[in-house]
Amino acid sequence: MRFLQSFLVLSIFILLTSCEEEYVFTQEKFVPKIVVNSVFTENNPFNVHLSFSRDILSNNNSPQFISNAVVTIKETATGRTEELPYKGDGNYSYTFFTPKIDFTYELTVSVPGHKVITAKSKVPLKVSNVDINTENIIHQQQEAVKINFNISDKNQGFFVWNWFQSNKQNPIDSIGFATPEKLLNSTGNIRNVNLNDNDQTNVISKDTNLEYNTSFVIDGKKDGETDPATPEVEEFYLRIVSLSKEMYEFYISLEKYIDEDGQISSLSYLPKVFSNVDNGLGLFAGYSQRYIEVKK
Amino acid sequence: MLKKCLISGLWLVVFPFFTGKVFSQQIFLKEKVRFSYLTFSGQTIQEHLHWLESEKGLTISYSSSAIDDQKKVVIKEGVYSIEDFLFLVLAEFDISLTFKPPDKILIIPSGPTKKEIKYQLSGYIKDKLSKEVLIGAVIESQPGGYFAFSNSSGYYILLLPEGLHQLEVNYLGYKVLTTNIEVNGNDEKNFFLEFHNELPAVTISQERISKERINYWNFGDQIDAFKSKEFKSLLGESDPINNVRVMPGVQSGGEGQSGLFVRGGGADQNLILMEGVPLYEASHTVGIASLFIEESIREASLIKNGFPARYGGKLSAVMDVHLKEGNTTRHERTFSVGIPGAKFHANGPIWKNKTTYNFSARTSWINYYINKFLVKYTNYDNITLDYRDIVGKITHRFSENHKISLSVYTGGDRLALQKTFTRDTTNYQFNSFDQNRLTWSNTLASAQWYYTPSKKWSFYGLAGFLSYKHRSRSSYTFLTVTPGLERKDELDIFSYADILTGNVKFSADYFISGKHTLKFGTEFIHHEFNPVVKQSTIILQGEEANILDKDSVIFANEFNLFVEDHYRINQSLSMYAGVHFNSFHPDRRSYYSFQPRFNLVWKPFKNMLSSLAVTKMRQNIHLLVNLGIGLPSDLWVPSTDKVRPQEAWQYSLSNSYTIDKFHFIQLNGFYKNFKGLLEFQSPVDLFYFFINDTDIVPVYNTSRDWERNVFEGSGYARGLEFLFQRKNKKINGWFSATWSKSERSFPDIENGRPFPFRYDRTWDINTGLSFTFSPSFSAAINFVYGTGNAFSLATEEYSTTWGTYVINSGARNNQRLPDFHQMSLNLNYSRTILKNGILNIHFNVYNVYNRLNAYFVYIYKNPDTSRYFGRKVSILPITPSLYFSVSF
Repeated sequence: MRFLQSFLVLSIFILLTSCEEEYVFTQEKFVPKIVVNSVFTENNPFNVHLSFSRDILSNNNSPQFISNAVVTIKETATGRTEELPYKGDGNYSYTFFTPKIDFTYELTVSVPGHKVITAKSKVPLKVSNVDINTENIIHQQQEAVKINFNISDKNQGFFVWNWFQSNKQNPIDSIGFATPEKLLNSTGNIRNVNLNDNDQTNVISKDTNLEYNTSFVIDGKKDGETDPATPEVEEFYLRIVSLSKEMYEFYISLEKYIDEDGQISSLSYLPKVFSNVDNGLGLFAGYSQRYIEVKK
Repeated sequence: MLKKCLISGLWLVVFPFFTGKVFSQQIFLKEKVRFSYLTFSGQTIQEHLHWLESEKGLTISYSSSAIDDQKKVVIKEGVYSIEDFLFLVLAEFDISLTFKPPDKILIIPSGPTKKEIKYQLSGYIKDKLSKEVLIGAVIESQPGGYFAFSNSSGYYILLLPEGLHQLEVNYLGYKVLTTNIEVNGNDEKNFFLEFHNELPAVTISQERISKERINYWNFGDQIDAFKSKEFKSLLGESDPINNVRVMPGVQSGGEGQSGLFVRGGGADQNLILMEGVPLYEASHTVGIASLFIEESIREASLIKNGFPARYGGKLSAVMDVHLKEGNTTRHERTFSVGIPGAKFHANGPIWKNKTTYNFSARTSWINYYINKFLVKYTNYDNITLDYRDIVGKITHRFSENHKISLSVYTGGDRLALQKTFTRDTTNYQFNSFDQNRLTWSNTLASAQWYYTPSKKWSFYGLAGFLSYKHRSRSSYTFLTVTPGLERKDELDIFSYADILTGNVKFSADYFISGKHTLKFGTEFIHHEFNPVVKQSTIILQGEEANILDKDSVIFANEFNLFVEDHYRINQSLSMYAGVHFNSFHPDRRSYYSFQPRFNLVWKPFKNMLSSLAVTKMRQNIHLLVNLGIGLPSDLWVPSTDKVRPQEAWQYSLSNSYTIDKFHFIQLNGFYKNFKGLLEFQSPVDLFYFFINDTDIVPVYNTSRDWERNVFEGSGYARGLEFLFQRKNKKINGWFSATWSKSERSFPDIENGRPFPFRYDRTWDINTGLSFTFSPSFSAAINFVYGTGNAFSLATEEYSTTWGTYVINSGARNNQRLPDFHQMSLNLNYSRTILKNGILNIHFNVYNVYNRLNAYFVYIYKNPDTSRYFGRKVSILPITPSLYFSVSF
């Protein structure tokens, strides 16, 4: 019996020492790729940022900017080609060369020792045909305003919409000219705008014959009610961003990537973030945007 | 008087005609002919007859169906009468000659040729003690090599020529029965085989053990999965799921995997039948054991190619498990107890020789030990792991040819993991609480009817029912505290799969002749699926069943028709041909498929058997495995109007050679292509639309969301398999090796570039030895090696336009886990106790040298240093187990 008891204890002890340990991946020698980051819209000079990708398992944590590249952009319709000088920290830009609506641009990057990088994109037309109407409703036992809008543009396929609020201390200008950095955050928030249980929030559509009709509810409360530091909201704006196809693909793939929270394991696949850069990584894409005030 | 005159007159008229005809015939047939190879250059009977026709200017008439005129004969040169020459040329045939003036000779078979005179020997093949019928036993005559198999009723029909024959009756695990029999007419004979692996006290025998049935059954392609007791599962039990993994082309999938992966197929592509009812899950958690209790099984076999037409619905393999009917004359009981749990088995007569029962139950109590150690040695606060199985069967025999049986099974698993995590720094405190629960259960009922009304017909009927419930729930609570802010987030993820299946089947065997056995039948299957995935941003309260969407049930009906013919072309060549017709009707669309099955078997000589098989299979049901957040969420879903069924063609060539009575080798090659395979876009896509970042009202998805989150693609698998076996009384051994390649291709993934299947194993090796030291003591050792599974490793980081850093996923399945290998040891000791009791002690050690095989690997980012590290998680280190069992 003593033997049996000892055996049981030993067995269970061994059985439960399942363990986790450091593991060194064996992989082929890492060859860094050139990463291009450039989104552009009308009347803003081109800016192209170049860096190298890195192996996260290496000891090198700092990003490596590329300073010795030859960067040119060509306006395909006119043939105008400009070389962008290096401005430091991996940035190449040229003040006197700004994109135009409905024009396509081609990027070429040459870095010694690497294949030539190319990419192409277009600044899409601004959204033009938008009908907005509002109605007062009771939502969750509170007064609210329901806003319906209809985009009927026939020549555009990719949109992002969200809404903005402004007040005296936070005027529309401060956030209205949202840089692309704001785009992701803004659209991320709009999911929460959709409180209509039966409605599916379609942030983006690629339907070229777009007849987009949706609605959202603006809470009638003042922001100051929940946070005294925030003053009363005075104006609401609907922001509609027209995306190039490249930007749309990138945005969708990045959202999936973020949703997975970057988990990397043999049990899962990491979503691939879209890139339109041949022989490299990153994005070269155009967009345009429009703000429309919403009258309550 | 008048009558006498008429008869005499008639006689006077007929007699001269009659005698004249006979006389002229005799004269003509006695004519001489000189046969010489100067004037004849042929070889066949037909050429000899044509020569005679031209030499004598006559016409020879015969039936080619009665006389094989392509046979070669050798006639000595010389002078023969026509009659003698013909009898010499046709010496093999029993004929008579008739002359038709003026120049015609009729060759008339005077009866069946000697070779065609065969008599039918038929009867049942049964276990000597229990009197249970044995399915798939081989009866073979020596010399001659005539053979037949017993069908699902244990009934056989063997055609033998007249004369004395030595018969061998084989069944794996049983002693070979050898007997002489004089055949001079149709006869009936039952054979009773003795189990060779009996209790040690009675296994002493001079008879050699049975040959592997793999030599014969289903042309070398079916494997008996049960009778090899030297193979043990993780915790020391013998079960068919584990046993078949020793065969080439069959692998487990790796550390902690419970499924079977056959010839590049997925674990969901195997048709596993218990008493004729298909199962959706056949293994307990992390492969501890299958749900089949060793003592309750009569027969379990695996088919990996050359699928008979009676099977359908899955692509890669068929495992058909039959329960024991029970001993017809005496009661047998076994009680076992060990570290994993306890089990009880009993079978015997309720009404002697008429009604029998078989009952088994098993429960796990490993959970009672786990919690004590868990807190100390793992990250989990609490773990629950247990399983249970109860199975029973009652069989009633109306007569030897007529019986019914009722079977029931219920069982399931419960796994729960609970973990808390705290990070506390000066200005930041983070607490998380995770609860992961996984339960599944099977409830099965089956009624089967066997009736053999005559030597020509045998009938089988089945009515089955299965209820399968798979439920997974992961609940997370996150509490973040920073100066001036306290935020609580919750996430509740459900994955339910409730499936109801009812099937009714009827089939008939028609023994057309000794060369032809026809089997045909039909089956109707009704499915109800309720695949549900839900997510809520608050943790829901109340009964989980109340959260289920009742309106998301998908109904589907399936109708099968099949015909199969086993045709023995000649003594060395057999052909199996069949078709399986399937129509599948989910709610909004119908699918039809016509699946040919063909298998040609060539047995050029006694020890060698080759087969060429071509089969098409279709699978209407898919398993969606989400390996993202929380525990795996396995959803079985039917084909719909958007998602088509899967299909596979398999081409297989196998060659088996029995070197001598102890040694056997087999070499197989296969190619398989798949269509309609499904792959999730990415693991989290299942929840993609429902990740919300504020505390709004709960959001649920609907059951059909999976349709838009999967990709459809194709794939292929090819490989070579080798098996060597040694079987004798003292030392048994085996070495099986598989080289294979399996790839998948999806147009929407990496532009259709093929990538390795997750369970692609370049090499898979399984080898072992078992020793029988004495009638009471035996040992076995088993070594398994496999190339590591493929997975996608992403280590390339870069910055995006918005300043955030992302990891480039790289190519899919571009990396391999470390190679998997482990050795297990098994010791068995038996002794007689009391009067008729037997005590068995089984000691098993899994992973003897404590190889820490990878269950999974991941990349971890240290939040303090932002450095990344590779981590490997192993779950099955060296694992001893002990079992005591008492049989009486």
